[in-house]
Amino acid sequence: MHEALRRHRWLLLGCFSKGDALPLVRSAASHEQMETMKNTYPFPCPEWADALAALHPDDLSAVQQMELEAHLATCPACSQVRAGYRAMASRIERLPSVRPLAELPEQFMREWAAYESIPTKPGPVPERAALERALHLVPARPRPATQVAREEGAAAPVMTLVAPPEEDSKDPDDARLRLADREKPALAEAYVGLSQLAGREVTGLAGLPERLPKAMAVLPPLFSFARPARDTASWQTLVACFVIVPLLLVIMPLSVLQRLGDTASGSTLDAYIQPLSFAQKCTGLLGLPEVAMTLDNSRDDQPLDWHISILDTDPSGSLPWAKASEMSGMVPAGARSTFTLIPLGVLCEIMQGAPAPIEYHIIFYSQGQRTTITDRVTPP
Amino acid sequence: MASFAHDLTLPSSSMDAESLEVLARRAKTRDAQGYAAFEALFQYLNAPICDYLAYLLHNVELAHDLAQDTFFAAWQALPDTREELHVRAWFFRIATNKAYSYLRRQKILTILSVEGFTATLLGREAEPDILPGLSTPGPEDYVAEAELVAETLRRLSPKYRTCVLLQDQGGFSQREIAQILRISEKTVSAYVSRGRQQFLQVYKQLEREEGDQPGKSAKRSRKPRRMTGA
Repeated sequence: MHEALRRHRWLLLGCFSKGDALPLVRSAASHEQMETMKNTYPFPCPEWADALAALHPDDLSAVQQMELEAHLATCPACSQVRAGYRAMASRIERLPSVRPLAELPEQFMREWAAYESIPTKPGPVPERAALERALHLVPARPRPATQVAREEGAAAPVMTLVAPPEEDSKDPDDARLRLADREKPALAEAYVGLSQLAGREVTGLAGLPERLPKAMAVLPPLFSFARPARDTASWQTLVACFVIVPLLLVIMPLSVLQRLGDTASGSTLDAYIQPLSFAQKCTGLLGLPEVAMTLDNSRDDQPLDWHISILDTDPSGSLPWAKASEMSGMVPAGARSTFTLIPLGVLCEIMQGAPAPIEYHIIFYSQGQRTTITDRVTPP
Repeated sequence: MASFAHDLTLPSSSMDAESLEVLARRAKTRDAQGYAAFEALFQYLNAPICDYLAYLLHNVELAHDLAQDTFFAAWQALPDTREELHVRAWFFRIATNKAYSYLRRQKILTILSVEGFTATLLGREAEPDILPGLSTPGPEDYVAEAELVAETLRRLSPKYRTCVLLQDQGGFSQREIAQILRISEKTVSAYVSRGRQQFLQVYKQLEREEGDQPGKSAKRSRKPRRMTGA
């Protein structure tokens, strides 16, 4: 008898609130346990224990909810437990918030910065066979030509060589298909031609070694939405490959190429912010002067949302190299606005002894586009 | 921070699951829009994830570290996720996995240490002194109560603590918790039930202990503690 009661003590305890515990049960449990039980909430009926703890509205079905309510109406112990659970849940819900993260993870920001600098990083030169294979791959993430032009910046001159202007087409998919079907082989050939040029001594093409890697780097992303290529190269391809592209690289400095890229997307970034690049020289260890940046939206009939990001740090890597009076804002249509770029006060001091000028950047975003503003700082 | 992607809807506190899904889909593209979409997800989930990890691990600095890991892991894994993603639950799952990994490592380190070995022999869980303490402005009673609740949570078994926090702090149903933790709904139900029972007992016990201190009332005896890094 005693053993049976001991085994079922939880059941017996279930519907007795504190002070009602049976003597037999008391003898089965340890004194310490009983003290705890006497001073805490009653034990719920075992068959209802899980349902009592289910406080989310979706945890119980309507029928289960009704059954529970019916039981609670007849069982003070379970009612008391349920009320205790609700009170505790409310206290947990009202716990004060801790300080959230100040910004996105550093690795993410680095990756983002790397993404932004794609056009300035030379990419690997694939073999021609690999390139041809790539052209036959169905793209994972096709992008409209307008978007490619906007995102790849300096690649746009090549696109303008081989792709017709897109203003006549309002359908980005249509533009993408035209580019993919008709112009991709030409682009591929242009790329191969450039890669061949890269390995040669080319006379009369001043500055090519510096510009070529950039052009080489920005071309491969264009292949990401390539469709099956035609088997034969046209004469236009050869002209684009060996004549026009090298000539373009020689004639136009990269800053002009960048503007062409912007033009291809229907806007001109340097109409939004000036200056795009400037140079400062440290005189002694004093701080560098502030620079007024002008946001010009006077020629547009749409408001200009903008945002800047300062990722470069001082040479010690601990502080952003500059701050801005405003990090984001909106310039109304037809208006101009300014903000001030304030270089780090101790930048010159930290740069002391640097062997060469250092270029610092801020990234300016607007209307889904971005541009890099460069400050070339000469150390003291 | 203003988003440069002007066509993105900025997250609000009541953002629905569908909006989060849209943001997640956009973030998969990994272009400028994708980064902006992920930033929006971050802005929405930053505080809840940090809160959850802080009270799960009882350590704000650690919560920040693991929240960073959580968001970066999510960014990396996002392209491989299926279309119909329960975004909020998915982020909490990653956060939980990060926390459990930490606790596993910590347990191994504890067992390897002499003190931990002794504690293990004595049957005690030798948790490092990863504090509670809340840097929370507000009425004294509220702060004292919050500290008591945080301390109570700390004393729960991790699996109970996780379930209770996911339900009461995260607002998830038991079915969602089962999906987050990849365990059965029945197990979650049992964990929540036992967790609540344990919570009530520990809470009452702590209240009693503080009330029993001679010459001090329960409220006055609660010394203000500061959560590291809060």
